[in-house]
Amino acid sequence: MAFEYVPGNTFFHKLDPRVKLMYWFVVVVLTVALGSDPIFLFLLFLSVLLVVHASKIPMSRIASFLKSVWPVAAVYGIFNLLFPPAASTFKNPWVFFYAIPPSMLPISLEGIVWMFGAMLRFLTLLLVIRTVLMITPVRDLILAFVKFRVPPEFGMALSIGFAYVPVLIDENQKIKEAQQARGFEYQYRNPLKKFDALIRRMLVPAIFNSMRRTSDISIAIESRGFGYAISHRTYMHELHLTQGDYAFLALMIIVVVVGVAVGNFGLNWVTYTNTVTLLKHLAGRV
Amino acid sequence: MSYSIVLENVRYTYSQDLEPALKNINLRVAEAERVLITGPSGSGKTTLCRCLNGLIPHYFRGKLEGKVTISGVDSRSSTIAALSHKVGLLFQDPSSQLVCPTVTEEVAFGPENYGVPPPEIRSRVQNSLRSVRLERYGDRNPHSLSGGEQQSCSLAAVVAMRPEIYVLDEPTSNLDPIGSSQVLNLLANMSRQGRATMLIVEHKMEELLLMVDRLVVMNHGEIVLEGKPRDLMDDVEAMEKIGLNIPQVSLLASRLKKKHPSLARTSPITLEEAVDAFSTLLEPGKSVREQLRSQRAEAADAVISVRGLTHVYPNGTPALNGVDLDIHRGEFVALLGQNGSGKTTLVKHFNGLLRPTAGTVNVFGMDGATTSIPELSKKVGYCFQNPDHQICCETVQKELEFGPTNLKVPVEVVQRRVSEVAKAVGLESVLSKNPFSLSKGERQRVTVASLLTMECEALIVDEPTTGQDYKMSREMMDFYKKLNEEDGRTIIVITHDMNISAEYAHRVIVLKDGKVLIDGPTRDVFSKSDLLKTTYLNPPQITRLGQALSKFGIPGDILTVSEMAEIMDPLLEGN
Repeated sequence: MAFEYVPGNTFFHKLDPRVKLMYWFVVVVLTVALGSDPIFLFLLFLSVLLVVHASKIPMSRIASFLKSVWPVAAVYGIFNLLFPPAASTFKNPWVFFYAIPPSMLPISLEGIVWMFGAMLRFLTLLLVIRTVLMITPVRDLILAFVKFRVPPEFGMALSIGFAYVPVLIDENQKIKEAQQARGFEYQYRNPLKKFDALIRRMLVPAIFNSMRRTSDISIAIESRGFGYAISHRTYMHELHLTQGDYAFLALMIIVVVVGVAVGNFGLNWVTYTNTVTLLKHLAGRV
Repeated sequence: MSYSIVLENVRYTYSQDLEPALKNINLRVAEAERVLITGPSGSGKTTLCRCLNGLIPHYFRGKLEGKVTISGVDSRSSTIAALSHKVGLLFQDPSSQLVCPTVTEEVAFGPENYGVPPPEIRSRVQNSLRSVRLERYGDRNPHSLSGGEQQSCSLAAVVAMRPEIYVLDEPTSNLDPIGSSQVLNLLANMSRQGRATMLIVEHKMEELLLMVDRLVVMNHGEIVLEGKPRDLMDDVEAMEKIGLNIPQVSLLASRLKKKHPSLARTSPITLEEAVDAFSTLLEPGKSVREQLRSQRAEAADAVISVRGLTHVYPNGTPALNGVDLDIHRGEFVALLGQNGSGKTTLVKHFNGLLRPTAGTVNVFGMDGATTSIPELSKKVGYCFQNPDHQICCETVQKELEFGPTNLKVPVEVVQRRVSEVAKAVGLESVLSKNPFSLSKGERQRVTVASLLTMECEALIVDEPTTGQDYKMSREMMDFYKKLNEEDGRTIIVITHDMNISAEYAHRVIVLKDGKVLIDGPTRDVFSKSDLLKTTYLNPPQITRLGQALSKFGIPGDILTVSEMAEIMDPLLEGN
């Protein structure tokens, strides 16, 4: 499941959901600020893995998650290798060969370094959101949204969405089986046929059922008073920032300020060129 | 006297309908009164419930005439949310009223909406969950619970709102026997504490009659009978005519009364009352009858053979554990057991939807482990519980063509079969209609018809009567009986309804924890009350009456009220 809370009682689990969202935001900012240097991005990636480890989330789960997103990351990487957006800034690139001989799509050291940076950024962004969701129950997420002035209706929609995940999975399985029981086969070789089968035979009942359920759900929530003086709605669980929250928040602020400063504004210390220069030094080609 | 609910000359017509769903309704429910409303499907019970918390007129579109007053407030001048503060509504289908990702939040949802202070919410959640025995499930997704637990959770969510009035719309009709008795026990507790006004809508009266002060019978949008349960049960003829599920003991007493004046003052509404009443009327040991035997001989050949069948789901859940059985040609089999006992897992092996983890399944001479689903489904049709999971075509005609076309039957043959089946099932007039626009009963017939066009020799029917009223259940079962007797089809029905099983099945198989607990002719199985009890099943009320009266020479394997009346008739003669 894409959204799976892993219960726990660690420092990171106990953080206020607003601070967790803040942490996510900081990592996103850093991936952009340090956006092209694979060394720093790798360190950032490791730091998120450290949070995973400290939250006692089994590494096997992260591994299987990374395995499932790996193909997308690979395609993204190859695209960045062939068409590096920073190509115009490559000074005197070390070209190994051309993807289309004799002189189109050069594969250079700069391009490869850029590719690793892009892939690490991509994986870090996915990993951090996954990690935050694994240590935050939906309830806390909704509470945080409410504190950030997102309307309660949005929180409700999110809540219903999570509540119905098992129902939808079960329903789709039943619909599929009901049709197989009448000799319908989903195992078409032809992807177009397969697509047609899925759309026509799965979607019609699925949409019909969802439509009717939507009406049932809105009756159910109105019958439980949703919408009664909504601005005075209360929440069973209240959020309180603890000392740990403040400490972690302070750390995040320092990290993001320093990160943005060295990465972007004026200083520009952290770019892919550092790595390129380093590698060229190591190879003795300055 | 102060009234919680007052309906005066209420008439309601949904905007898409011509006929009113409710007409001429006058009903006053006093504070703390408990009322049971019953009536066939479409008699207006649910519409009545919708009037009580303002869903009518504020959510549904239509024309409301007359006046609905809830605790002194006119429903027209209020809102759904405001009325729901006074009226807690529990719906039939638990899965469409659970809207939060965890049980705790589900229960807190109502109080949160009304701005109850957080500490108070926490204590209400704790109390409500304890009262429905779900305190250990607080962090679970409500949809991952069993049906009974889901409905208990919904009930806790209503209780936490502290309404003055509870309106419960068929709270047990989608549940298995365990779930049903869980919820009924909770209702009995609430009713005993006796502060709140309760209005319960149910088809099954048997367990509820003792719990309520008043019984209201609806038919065609009107209240047709009303009174104390015992008074109404004195003469059940009118209710029988409407097609209600009357407690079997009341039905029996009412029938015998006509010939035997000694019963004039006997109108039992529970099994215990009936046992007491008949014990004083019958003489011990007057005539000891042999057990009844009208069993069907098992002469026919086995069409489905299961040997040592074990199934373990990929996530490691064991569902079947060494099942052995033979289904013979032309048998009518009822498959009983609680949810999770393995019924559905078992029958899915008959058409290849599941494959054995160990053991063998032989289906009409084909190997159930390796034969493709389409090959197996030529012989075995599987009718799903919810027709909306099965229907997938734009017209009824196409729906009926779907199966045979998949099986590559020539077009002319398909057309011939479709017109034959449509005629036999009574769907000729709707062939060009969109199946989703039909009524639930019709949709169910469409799904059966769409299997019949495949000309399968055996038909598996998954809970055909769950959520249906007495009359519709009968019609469905009569239909399967016809398919069985006239066309010689083998029928396997999964059901939770003991009365239906007793009346229609030749043979009953009871599963428990993935094993066969009992397998035998219907009469033999239901005479084994003690064994059935180990999986929380009860034989029909009339069978249990016979068993309780064994010292008066009444056999313990009576299956229907008519049988019992026939046996009792001469025994009462002498007195």
